[in-house]
Amino acid sequence: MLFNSFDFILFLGAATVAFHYTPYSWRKYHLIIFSYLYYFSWSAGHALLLFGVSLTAYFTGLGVERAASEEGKKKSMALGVLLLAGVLFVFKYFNDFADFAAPGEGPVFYRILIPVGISYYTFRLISYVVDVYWGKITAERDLAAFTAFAAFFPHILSGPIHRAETFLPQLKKAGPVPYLMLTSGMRLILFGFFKKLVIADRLGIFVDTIYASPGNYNSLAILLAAYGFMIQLYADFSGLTDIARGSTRLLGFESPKNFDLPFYAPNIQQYWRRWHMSLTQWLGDYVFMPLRMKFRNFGNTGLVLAILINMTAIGLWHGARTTYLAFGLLHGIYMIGSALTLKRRDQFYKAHPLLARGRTLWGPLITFHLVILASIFFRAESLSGAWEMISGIAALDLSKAGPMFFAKREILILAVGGVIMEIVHYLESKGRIRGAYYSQAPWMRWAVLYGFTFFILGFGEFNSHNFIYFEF
Amino acid sequence: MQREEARTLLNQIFRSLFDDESLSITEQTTAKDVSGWDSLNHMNLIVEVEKTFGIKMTTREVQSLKNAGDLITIITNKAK
Repeated sequence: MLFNSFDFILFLGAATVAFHYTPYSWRKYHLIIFSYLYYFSWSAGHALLLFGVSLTAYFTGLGVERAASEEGKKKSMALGVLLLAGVLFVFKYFNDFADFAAPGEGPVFYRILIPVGISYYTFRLISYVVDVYWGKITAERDLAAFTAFAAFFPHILSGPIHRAETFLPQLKKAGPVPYLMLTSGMRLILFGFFKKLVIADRLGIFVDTIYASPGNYNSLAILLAAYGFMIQLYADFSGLTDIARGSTRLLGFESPKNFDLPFYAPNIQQYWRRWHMSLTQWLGDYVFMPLRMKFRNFGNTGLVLAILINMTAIGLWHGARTTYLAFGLLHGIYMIGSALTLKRRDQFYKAHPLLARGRTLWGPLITFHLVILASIFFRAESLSGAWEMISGIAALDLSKAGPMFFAKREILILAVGGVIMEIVHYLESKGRIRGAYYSQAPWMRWAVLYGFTFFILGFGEFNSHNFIYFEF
Repeated sequence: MQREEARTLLNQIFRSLFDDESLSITEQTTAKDVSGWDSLNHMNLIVEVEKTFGIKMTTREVQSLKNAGDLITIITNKAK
């Protein structure tokens, strides 16, 4: 049951109504029932796995807290993390290793189905175990509450990675879901569908055509496909996140943000603080920081190593493919270059105030193009495919077919949709979306909602495309 | 070591690390208040603190820091 399916809308409606009538102290059971029902719609066997790993994390948390010695705490934590990471590793990368060991088709029994959402729920549980060990939170004693946290259905597929620290207190808070939360949740879901159906899936048609055979198109068309994919990915993934966060609000929870105007970031460090934020914060806390601590007395070499390992991990988290590795390494190199020169650049611009004004323009522009370059590796089927795209752009050859196979009507819809998307994102980021919405007369607010709905129904792409980040 | 003494020394570290002679650290100062105090620079700060005060910090302690006051507490507990 995908988020962009009619079934899910019905399911979410039923879950919301039932939540409303559930006594406050039973809400955890409601979440367990609906979350597992949702997960059963994917796979019953994998639901058992999900339950198994939640139990593992639950008991590890208690074990860490009860251990008498520092050494005991550390051992319990390490064992729990190893088990959870082991499950992720085996299930997520098994097929890749099978392919590596026996290239080609391979016997059917080699292939296993990757459990949906495994990259997200194992990360959520690992952070729980480590946070208990670090003393940031106390171990959860209520098994039902913990099971609800681990399986929480709006976040199970593709995040955001909601940590126990902020989730569990919200679950234990009694009281009705505020009316404003319900309406803002529904608006967020509507906006998510708008981004997914009007922008991402439409742009996807153009992007897919060119990525499939870049050799047939001229440099301009390939360049536009490279831009197009990054914007598609943004609309797709932030749309999916909005649907997840909106659904969460219908159940009275606030979840972490995943995006904050990433394409206007002034440098690459800032970009990663604004793109897939719940994942980069996770890696920052549990991979980058401990590595930096380990290597702290090696100066810049330690910094370089920690960044490289961290960015490679971001790449390979998407899957064990050379293209993801190249994507991660490239971002690692950007990040190292930027981190090592940032102080000097700041000093330079301080001394040249006139140029500093220009920096606000070309900083984001350069950053955006570095991101585009890396995204070609992310999207391409193979390294040679990525190379074909890049050399196709660099050839500056306009003799082959151009981008205009894409109808003018499509381009117009994308342009209008894109501008609307970025205005909403801007207001959201500045915390002015609620004010801007509620300062309007009621007829205007209804007009906006109907406008979005008609835009989706009239110009949405309804040929059911999967969410890109669903695969991870 | 007294808190005030630790704070004064810490302030000197901040000034040279973040290149700002006008910085004045209080117990409540957080990363948001100091331009350049990000996750990349955070560890340079820890290294400087360890060297200056002759102490060793654990990942757990570094992760639990919420403001400069927390850092001063760890310093005063550990430094002789």
